[in-house]
Amino acid sequence: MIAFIRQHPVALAVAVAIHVAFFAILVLSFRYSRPTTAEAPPVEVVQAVAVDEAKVKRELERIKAAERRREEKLKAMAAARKREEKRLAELRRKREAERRRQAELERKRRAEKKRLAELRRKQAEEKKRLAKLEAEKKALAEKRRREQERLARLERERREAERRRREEAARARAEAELKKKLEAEQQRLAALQAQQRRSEIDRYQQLIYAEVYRNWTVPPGARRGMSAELRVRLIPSGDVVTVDIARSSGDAVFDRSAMQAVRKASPLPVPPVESGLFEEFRQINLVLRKKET
Amino acid sequence: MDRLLKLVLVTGLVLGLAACAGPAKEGEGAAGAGGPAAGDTRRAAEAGGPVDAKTLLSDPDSPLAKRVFYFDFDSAEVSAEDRAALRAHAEFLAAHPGISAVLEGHADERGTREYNMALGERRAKAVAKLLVLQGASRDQLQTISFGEERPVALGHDEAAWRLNRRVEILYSGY
Amino acid sequence: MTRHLHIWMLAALLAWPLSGRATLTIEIEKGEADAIPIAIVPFGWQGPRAAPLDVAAVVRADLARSGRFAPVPVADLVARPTTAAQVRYADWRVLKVNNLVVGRMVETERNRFRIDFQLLDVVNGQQIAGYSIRAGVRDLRRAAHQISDLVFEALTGIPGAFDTRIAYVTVTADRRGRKTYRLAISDVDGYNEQVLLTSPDPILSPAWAPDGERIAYVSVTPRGPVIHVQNVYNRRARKLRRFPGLNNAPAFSPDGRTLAVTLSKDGSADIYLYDLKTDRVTRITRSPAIDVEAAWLPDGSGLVFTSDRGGTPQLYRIALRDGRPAGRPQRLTFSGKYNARASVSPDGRRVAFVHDHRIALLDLETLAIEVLTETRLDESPSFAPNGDMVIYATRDGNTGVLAAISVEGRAPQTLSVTRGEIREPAWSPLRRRNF
Repeated sequence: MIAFIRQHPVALAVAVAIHVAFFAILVLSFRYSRPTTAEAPPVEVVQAVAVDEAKVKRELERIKAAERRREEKLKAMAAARKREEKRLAELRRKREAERRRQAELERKRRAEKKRLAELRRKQAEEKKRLAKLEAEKKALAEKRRREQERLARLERERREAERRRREEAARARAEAELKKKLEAEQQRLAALQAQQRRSEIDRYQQLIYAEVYRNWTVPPGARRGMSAELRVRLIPSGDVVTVDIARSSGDAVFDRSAMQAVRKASPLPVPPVESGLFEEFRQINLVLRKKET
Repeated sequence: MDRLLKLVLVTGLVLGLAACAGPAKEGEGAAGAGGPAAGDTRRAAEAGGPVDAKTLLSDPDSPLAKRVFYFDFDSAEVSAEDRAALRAHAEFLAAHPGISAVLEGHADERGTREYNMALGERRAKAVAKLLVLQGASRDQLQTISFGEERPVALGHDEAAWRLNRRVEILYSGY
Repeated sequence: MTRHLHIWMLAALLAWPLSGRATLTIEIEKGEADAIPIAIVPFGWQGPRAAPLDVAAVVRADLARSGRFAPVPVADLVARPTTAAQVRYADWRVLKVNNLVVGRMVETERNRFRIDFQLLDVVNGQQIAGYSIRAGVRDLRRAAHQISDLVFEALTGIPGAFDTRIAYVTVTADRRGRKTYRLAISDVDGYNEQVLLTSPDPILSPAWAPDGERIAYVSVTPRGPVIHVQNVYNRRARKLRRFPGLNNAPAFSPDGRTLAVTLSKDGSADIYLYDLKTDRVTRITRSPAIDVEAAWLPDGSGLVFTSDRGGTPQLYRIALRDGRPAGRPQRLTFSGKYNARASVSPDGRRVAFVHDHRIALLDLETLAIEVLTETRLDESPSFAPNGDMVIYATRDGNTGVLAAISVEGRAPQTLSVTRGEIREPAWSPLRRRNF
């Protein structure tokens, strides 16, 4: 319990405060209500007169009776008053309760009215906001639409430009292709002629190769890969006029064997003068090399 | 191909077995020492005369009459039956410490002369080793190689070659 | 595809205009050397009697035997000039010979001769060389061999080895079958045989000392093999220290002071170095296998020998440093069941050896093997001192003969046989020229 209180001092304080408040309210209400209950009832003044005994007695009796009756009547009156008072108090209490209820009702009604007013205000605000949003949305959509239209237009323009460019390029290509084909055809024809000359020259080169090869005795003592280059002058009969060493192998035996090979192979096979190819063979170089392996 | 492989495997197996069996057989031979040869040599030893040794050595029916042992090409491996015959010689030498023998190793003409000198020596030494293992004294034995220089058969075919791949036991003085 | 074609055509176009200006160049590559066609004209003779020797015939035979030359038979000679001045080159070009040798011999005094000869280049029409050699009657053959050497070297670029000798062993049997062995030397053409030793015991492995004056050999006596060193000139022989077992396969070191030998004194056959001055031996190989037939690398840096340490006889090389083994032996041969008896070429690049009973060459760098002979039972190869030929023993019918084959593997030439069987050839070192 104490631990609980320690843990919740605020709760305790609140509880105490609430109790004190209730107590105070009770005391105050009791004090205010007292004046109404303590009010003294109005008293009737009695007039006393002397009378005979019998008579007095009767009178007395009768007075007494009257007294009694009056007392009873007073009592009844007091009770009635008391009841009335009680009824009045009850009425007052009821009226008070009613009044409070009415006040409460009024308060509630006002609160409700206020709430409704607030709600209406809010609804109005929301409506306004929504209206504003809607307006903005509409504006945005419009903007977007315009942008899209712009882009679409641009794209159309771009495509158009591209298409034109492509067409232009294709046309250029086609023209170039045609030009190239024409050139190639010319080249091909030239090459064909060159090739024919070339192959004819090749043929004679092969023949010379074979003839020199056949007549060459490679010195066995020569190093592998050793080579000599000879400059050979020929006449249209194919006869070797001169043989000079353009590049010596550095080995006299090898150089001599190379010279011998060319001399022995003379006359060398050369194209006839009429072919116009002999000039290619008027002076030739021969490289004689001992195989590496 | 498979057959060749098999052959190689089988050969390997046989060689392996031979290698395993070799020493055991020698030991067994030395321990057993049975057979008529052993008996004869012992008797000779008891008699203890050179005449007896000479008689034994000149007896054509004695196991000692086998004095030449043959080999495979480029091999110094003594054959199983030759091991038995060599046992008799070992017994004889053991019984006659005064007698010594020269083991001449030879090769066939195939292969180089110098290699064959070494091969002949290897063969002679292989026989000497067997004799010593079976009781002969190392001092009684001398090995010499003639390589392919002293063929007994003069042909140039396997028939001649197989006769020339040999070790000869020569008893000095007999 | 078309693009390649374009490029190709462009290349052709580019090449074409150039070829019009640049000189056509033809490259000729050839490896194998053909035999050189040569004519050796009989030499002129000037003397009171018939010429003691047909020098030209000796030269012709020498050159033919080398396999490098194809001499024209005498009968086909178109003329008989004896001096360069008499030569009409055109005549000889018809014969398609490259070269011509002409010469003449004069007896200057009794049994003294002068030989003049010229080597001519028929094709180019010029003289290549001309020499004058003087010789006594006993040296005439040698003079002829020297001419062969000069011609050979001038035309092949390789020193000739005709003026060298071979040592060999001959075997004869008497009627009772008793054999006689002779250690002999002769010129490489088989002439001038001199018997250095006659013995009832087999003689093996003659080996020349680098000075060409001594020969080591093995005598297989009834008590076992023993090594001798004999002087070729005064015939004096020296028996080397003998060890138990093998004393075989001697080979002179390049400095001539040491013999590599095979001994088995420590068990199996191993290679040792025998110091000829101190008679001490140093063991080189250590294996329970047979190590035999050591041959020296020409710079003395190692030995090539036969060993069956791998199961079959194969060639191995072991390096030497200061007369001791340097490193482990390396196997050189891997194909064949029998590779033995190495003879190292003078340039140290190749080894001639017995490869499954044929003669083959081993390239010491690539270890490639090239079989030279096709006969069987070929043995004892020995390199010529110029490295161009290998002499070896083979069988002709029932007898042993010597044959020589060029390292190019040209048809082997059987050398003239003396009587009986001949074997174990060893080619001498080059001799100093005596003119």
